[in-house]
Amino acid sequence: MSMTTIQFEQVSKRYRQRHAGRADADLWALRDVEFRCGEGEVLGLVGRNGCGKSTLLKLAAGVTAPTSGTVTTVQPIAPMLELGAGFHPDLTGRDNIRLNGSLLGLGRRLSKGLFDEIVRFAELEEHVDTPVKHYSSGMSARLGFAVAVHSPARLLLVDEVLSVGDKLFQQKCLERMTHLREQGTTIVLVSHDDWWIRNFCTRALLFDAGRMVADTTPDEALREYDLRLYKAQAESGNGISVGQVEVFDGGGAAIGQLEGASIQVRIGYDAEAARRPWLLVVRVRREDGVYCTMSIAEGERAGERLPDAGTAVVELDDLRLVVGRYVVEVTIEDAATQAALATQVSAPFFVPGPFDLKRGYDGILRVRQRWSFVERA
Amino acid sequence: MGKDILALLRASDILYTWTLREVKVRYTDTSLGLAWIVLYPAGWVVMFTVLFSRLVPVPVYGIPYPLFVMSGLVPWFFFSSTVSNAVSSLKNNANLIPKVYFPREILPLGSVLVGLLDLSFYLLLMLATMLFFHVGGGWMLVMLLPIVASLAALTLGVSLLTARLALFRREVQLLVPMALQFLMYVVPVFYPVEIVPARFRMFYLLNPLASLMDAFRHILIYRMWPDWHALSYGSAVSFALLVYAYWDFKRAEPEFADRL
Repeated sequence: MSMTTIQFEQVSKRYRQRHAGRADADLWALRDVEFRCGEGEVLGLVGRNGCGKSTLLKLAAGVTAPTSGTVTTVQPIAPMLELGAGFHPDLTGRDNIRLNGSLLGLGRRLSKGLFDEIVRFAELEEHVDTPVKHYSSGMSARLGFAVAVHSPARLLLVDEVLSVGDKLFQQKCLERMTHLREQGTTIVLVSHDDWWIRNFCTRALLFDAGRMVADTTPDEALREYDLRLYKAQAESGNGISVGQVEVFDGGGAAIGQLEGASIQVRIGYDAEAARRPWLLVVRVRREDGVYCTMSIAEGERAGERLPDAGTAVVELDDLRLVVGRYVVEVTIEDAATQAALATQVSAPFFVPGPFDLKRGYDGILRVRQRWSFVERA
Repeated sequence: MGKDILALLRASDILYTWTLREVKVRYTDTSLGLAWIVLYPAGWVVMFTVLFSRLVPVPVYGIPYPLFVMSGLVPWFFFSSTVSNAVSSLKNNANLIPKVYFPREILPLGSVLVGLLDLSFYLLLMLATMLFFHVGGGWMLVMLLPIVASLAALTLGVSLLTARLALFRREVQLLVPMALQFLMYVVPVFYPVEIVPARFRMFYLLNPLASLMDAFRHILIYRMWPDWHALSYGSAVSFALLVYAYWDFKRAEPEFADRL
């Protein structure tokens, strides 16, 4: 394995909450976290708000010390916990690049050429001598981003700052981040945007209430995260639940791999506690989150009522999915607001594809297809 | 502590850009701009001159009173404005400290450097005034350097201590300006040390700021060697305080981000 760039050993962090007139309360933001990461790895941190992701980044950035355990990191680090840290509104873009850059390890290294490159990247050539208070929020975020990704950092810590600027700028961010990754920069990324975790990270850690509960592939971590969210929702106690969701093939055998184009989904559900009309919604999702198709049963329709609790079976025919892993997700929704009242996900099943194709399929559907060619005269 | 100083040296470009930023921030967007730096002390000089050379005269050994009071105000402004800036230097950067690591002493140290810049400017102004009145001068002025160095050490020590304390106790930010106001009356700004009765003078000079300011005035306008005992005592206390304050500051530093 390549050189270690960041290592956490049995790291815990406790915050002491002080309240006037009350006893201090302890809050463990992180508990016994252990992982190491090498050059060129992109680590995604996944979990609910307050699960310890941001605390982990602060510890890695060295702005706060662990209560116990050791944090070891390479230098220099570029923490992008907030874009444009230390920007002063009264000073020009130029002055702020200098200061922000020196904080990110770009002191003497900030040559004229690199300075111009940063300004060009931020698309602020015409505004570099304007005080930052006259910038739009997008402009100053772009500037902060540009400085950070041009720092000589070997470890980049990113906290929810990737959706900066317009589409073109975002494309540029992605290219620049990919370039840094290829150069061997380690990136630790917190994002609630699954896309970044799934497509940019090489590995993901899942956190739940300060504990690291998974250290795995991004896809695995996101699925585990979803399952935990559903479970938390079910336990939140509205009394409504979706029990087991089982997927069978056309012949009625439980499937791991789908051979034909039909599936049967058997759902145990309980919506007795629902006080308003509800829907049973079945969605087929590809593992990377792509939502393929759906089917709905209404709890009450034209005077007819479905049983409030029981077992439902739905058959989906002509399901011509492309190669990949899929799950079936079943949700009980409020008919009026479409708020999810309970959710459950099936075990994944695999749809095989034509393996002689080097390129592989993407998209959602596989259709019958014919090609024909005519050579140019 | 050696390791801390090395880390600070490696971060010297942050210190430089930070100090530059502080200076720029001060002079952008005030309509008076640079004039402010002259008008503010000029106001004090005029006020003290009216009070203590006209209304309640204090003995100043034939030195023009404006010049006399300037020789007290120059070090006093350095100390008091630096400390009152530094005490909030950590608190005011609550958006920076939890976001990126750098040696935190850069913030109070930046206040001291800005103060030193002002001090040099005031000293030049002072020397020009001295030329005008034909008072003081000569090669003795070189002795100002070690005195200013001690004064800077004392100021930095107090800045580090108060900046750090302000994070842990809210009152500090309120108490420091008050303490500074009281302090002005027990250091030789607008009166000479000699008006303090001889039997109290020793206690009066126990305050290192008082002994350093007195030495400063002796060299600058009396053209006399200062009280060496008081001066060496004042310098020793200043540097000892700085060492202690820095040690204390670095010890508390890992907690700063959690306190903001």
